[in-house]
Amino acid sequence: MDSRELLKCFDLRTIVQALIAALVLVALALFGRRVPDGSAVRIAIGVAETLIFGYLVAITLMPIRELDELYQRIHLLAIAGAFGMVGFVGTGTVFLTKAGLRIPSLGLWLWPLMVVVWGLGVLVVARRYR
Amino acid sequence: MKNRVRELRSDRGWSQGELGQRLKVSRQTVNAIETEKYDPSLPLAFRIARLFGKRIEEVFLADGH
Repeated sequence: MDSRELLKCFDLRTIVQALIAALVLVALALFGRRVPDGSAVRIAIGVAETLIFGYLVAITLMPIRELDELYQRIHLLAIAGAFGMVGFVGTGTVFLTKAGLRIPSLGLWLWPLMVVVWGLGVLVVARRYR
Repeated sequence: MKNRVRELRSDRGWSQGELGQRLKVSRQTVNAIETEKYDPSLPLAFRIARLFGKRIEEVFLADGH
């Protein structure tokens, strides 16, 4: 097993697939604006968006299963860090919004934020085992 | 946990990468085990001991023993 395997979840193939999925999501969102909310077509678009996003999550996480036990540990620690960070930012945003600050909702940026923090976490945690 | 993985590997003239290939783990994992930064799982510890033809307690030693 090669050291590059550690970053398998963030390799070019996954990034290209993620970009394609993102483009499809944008196209669906633009198309969805022309359709009235609550209509069968709009709901079908929402379901399609959800499924595509689920696919995006799956292709990002699946490569972890093929890693060796140290690399899995590194990813687990990094994901735990990303989970905590996103929880902190997300909840903090709600508290500050309720306090009257105008902060844009993280919404669809939540997952990309989590992936970025996860990736950075992998690099940081991996240094511990060098 | 202390271990004799580096010593046993060197005796056989294997590189860390070679040992990693035999154990189906990365070179970094072998290095982390040898430098005692990472304690392997029980199944991996057994695989290591079996590969060297030793009992697990001959390869891995609890701290203070």
